[in-house]
Amino acid sequence: MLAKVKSAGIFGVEGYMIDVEVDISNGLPVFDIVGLPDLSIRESKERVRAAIKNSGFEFPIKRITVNMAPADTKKEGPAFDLAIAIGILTATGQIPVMTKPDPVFLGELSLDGTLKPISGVLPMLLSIREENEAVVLPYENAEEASNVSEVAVYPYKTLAELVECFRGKAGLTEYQKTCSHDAGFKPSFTDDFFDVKGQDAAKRALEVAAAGGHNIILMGPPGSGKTMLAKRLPTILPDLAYNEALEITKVYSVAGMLKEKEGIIGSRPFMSPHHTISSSALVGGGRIPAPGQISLAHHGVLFLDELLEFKKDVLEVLRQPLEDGEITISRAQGSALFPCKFMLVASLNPCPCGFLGDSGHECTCTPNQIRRYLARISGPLLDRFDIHIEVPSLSFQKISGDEKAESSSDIRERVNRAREIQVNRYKKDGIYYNSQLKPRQIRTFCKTDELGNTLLERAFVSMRLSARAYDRILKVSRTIADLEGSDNVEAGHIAEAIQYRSLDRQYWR
Amino acid sequence: MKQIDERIYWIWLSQIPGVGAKRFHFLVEHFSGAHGVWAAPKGELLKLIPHLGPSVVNEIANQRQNRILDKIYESSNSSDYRIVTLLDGEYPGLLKEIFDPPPILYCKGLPIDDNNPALAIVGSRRSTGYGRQMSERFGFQLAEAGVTVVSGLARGIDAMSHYGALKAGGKTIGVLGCGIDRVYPPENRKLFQTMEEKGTIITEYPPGTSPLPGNFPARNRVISGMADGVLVIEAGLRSGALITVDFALEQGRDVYALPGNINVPQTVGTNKILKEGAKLITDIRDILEDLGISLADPGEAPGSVQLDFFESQVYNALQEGERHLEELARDTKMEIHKLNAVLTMLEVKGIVKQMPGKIFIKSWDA
Repeated sequence: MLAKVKSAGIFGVEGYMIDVEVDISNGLPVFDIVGLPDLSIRESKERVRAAIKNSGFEFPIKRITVNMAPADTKKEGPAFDLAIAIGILTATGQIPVMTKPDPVFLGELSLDGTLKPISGVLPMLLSIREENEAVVLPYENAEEASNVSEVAVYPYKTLAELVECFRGKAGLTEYQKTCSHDAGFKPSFTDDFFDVKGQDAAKRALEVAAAGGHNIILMGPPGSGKTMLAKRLPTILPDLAYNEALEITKVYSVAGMLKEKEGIIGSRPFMSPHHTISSSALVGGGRIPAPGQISLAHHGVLFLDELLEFKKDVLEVLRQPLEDGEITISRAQGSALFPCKFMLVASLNPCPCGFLGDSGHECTCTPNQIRRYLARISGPLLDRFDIHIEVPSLSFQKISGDEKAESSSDIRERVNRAREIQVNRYKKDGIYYNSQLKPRQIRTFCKTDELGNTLLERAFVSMRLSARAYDRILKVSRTIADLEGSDNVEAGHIAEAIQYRSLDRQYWR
Repeated sequence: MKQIDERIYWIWLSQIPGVGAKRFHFLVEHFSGAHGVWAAPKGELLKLIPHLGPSVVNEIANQRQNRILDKIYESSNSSDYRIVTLLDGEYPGLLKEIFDPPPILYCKGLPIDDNNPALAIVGSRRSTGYGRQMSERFGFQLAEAGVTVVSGLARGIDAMSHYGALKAGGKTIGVLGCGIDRVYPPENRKLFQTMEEKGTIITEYPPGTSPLPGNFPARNRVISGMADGVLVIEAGLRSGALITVDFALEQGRDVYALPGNINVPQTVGTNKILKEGAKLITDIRDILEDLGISLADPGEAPGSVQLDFFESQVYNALQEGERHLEELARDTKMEIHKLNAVLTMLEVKGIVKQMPGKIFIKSWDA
């Protein structure tokens, strides 16, 4: 007898339908799976056999052929175990054919018949929600799946439980979402800018960076708090919209990094890879493309601590995804597209010994050493950073003092307002925030008055700023004006922005 | 003709390894001229072994070859540099007076002008922002008053004093511790080029000499020897600048020093020599009056630059010295974004300078 069961697979962050057909006929007992299965699927034969037997059902001693259509795409992963088991049970007549609803079956089986969670549920369902109305999956994946409101979710803990419902008159019971996110997310963070004493200048620069989505470099001696500041950047980024959260969750789901309880990731991610990372771990890769750190930082922050310690080729691969906001990873089986719109935050020491400009220590580097050290950042990469600031090390009094610092939520409110202004302004231009402005758009949106132009001109001469600083100063000025709620970019805004270009300074002539 | 020949012998003798200024003068005196050394019978040379040691005497004997002399004659006509011997008119008069004047000076740039008073500005290579600024200031003001600024073309204080003097369009002399064809430290390449056009570079070391550590103390005796006085901007406890001070005292030159912050290691040396009797300098006129130059009182700074309320607040906060951005914010009680903007304005107006690490300092000419 023949049975047909629906399931789904995933490539990159896109899901696709898979029909699992099971045919049982008389003959020598063989269990064959065809349709380009990889090793983990071929192994599912053993899992399915044991799970059916241990759940108290009969595994047919016949010729079993499983076909997975479309037959020309390679399939991998243990997510088809459940579909194969249901197919066998249906084909042997142990459970009735399910027609309404005709669900998609997803799930890995353990030998005792327990359903185990799989990765990639959310992106699969998002891709196939048009043509499907129901899904049966492991209980742990239920919350994640319930984000796709068009699809009814039927979660189960064991194969036996599922079969019971199939046979019973009550039918399947639909999962009810535990919480609704329609109202947006109230982010909760363990870190807060409230804890950071002093460093007002750096905080302000981070606020500007957050408001305009500008990439930022923090320069300072060891122990000055660069990492502490960067870690708190996600807490002042604008509130996460529901569709942004879905996009983040998609990537995490594919990477198998979603925890059972969180059906959706409600806060902006912060990724801080170690400087020994390889380029494929950073941007994504593998035989079957897996998302890299930049995609896991989607809509969040990618923090590269000690930027100059990273391998040069690793840093250079960042350039294209930084520009495009997505990365295409091409492999023999096809190319996968992962989103990676992230804010890049980098920290570095101002000189090889780290103490240049520090009042407490003497710098032992020669100007030539410093020049060689800083020359390790390539010009094109440096161009991706709109803001660079210096983070001084703080005296003990400042750290231990009881000065009240502003909390993250206060700062975030201002950032939210500034972002709103930007979204409204760029409605027709296909961009969302200031750092995305193209040179042509800068001329339109960052126009300044005569006073501002004179200031820029004079600043370039007297401070010997480099030409590549020009557009970036204008973009950052635009953000500062937005933070103030000002329609025009004024001289004062430009004056402040000029202070955020530390690396353009030529201290050593 | 005799004069030219003697010059060549001088150069020849000065380039023999192991013959420094002291041995040079001893030999020239003993054989009444460098040609005398060349022509002396070997027996006469060997008699000097107790004074010079066997290796130097051997070296002199071996180097008495016409081939070598021809080469020196050729190189003495090089267009890259001039050779000034102690016998020549261009040789600075003050330097002649010291105990062991270098017999030969290799020069580039403008001729050495002996008519003006000269002052050496020295200081450590590892200097504070304040120190660098003050060197530029005094270099500028001295050159403006017609004083030749002598320094060592090293990084830090030296470089800034040359820059100051060049900015004023005055005369300045850089004394090297390496061959005239070397640029050390390399980051001063641009300064070297400017000095070749608008100043003078001299060294006692023949072309090709590396900047060996041992050369620099000897170089310092030339720096102080060429000047009427030595101004120490900043010096640590074991700074080369203090060696220059020792030479200056030996040579009978005046020593001036700039008082420094007692908490900073870079100025321990300057404060020490002040205690020991160096003249304390707070104004350029303190030096100029000793040199017999009187400068009209400049009066209050010209009020050409207009400051608004916030700008003058920041300006006042910087009166006491360099400040970090955060300290300024605390002192002026201004919000950081406003303060950033004000500082840019002040920087553009040339009133405030920014140092690495977001440290701000009042410009000396503001």
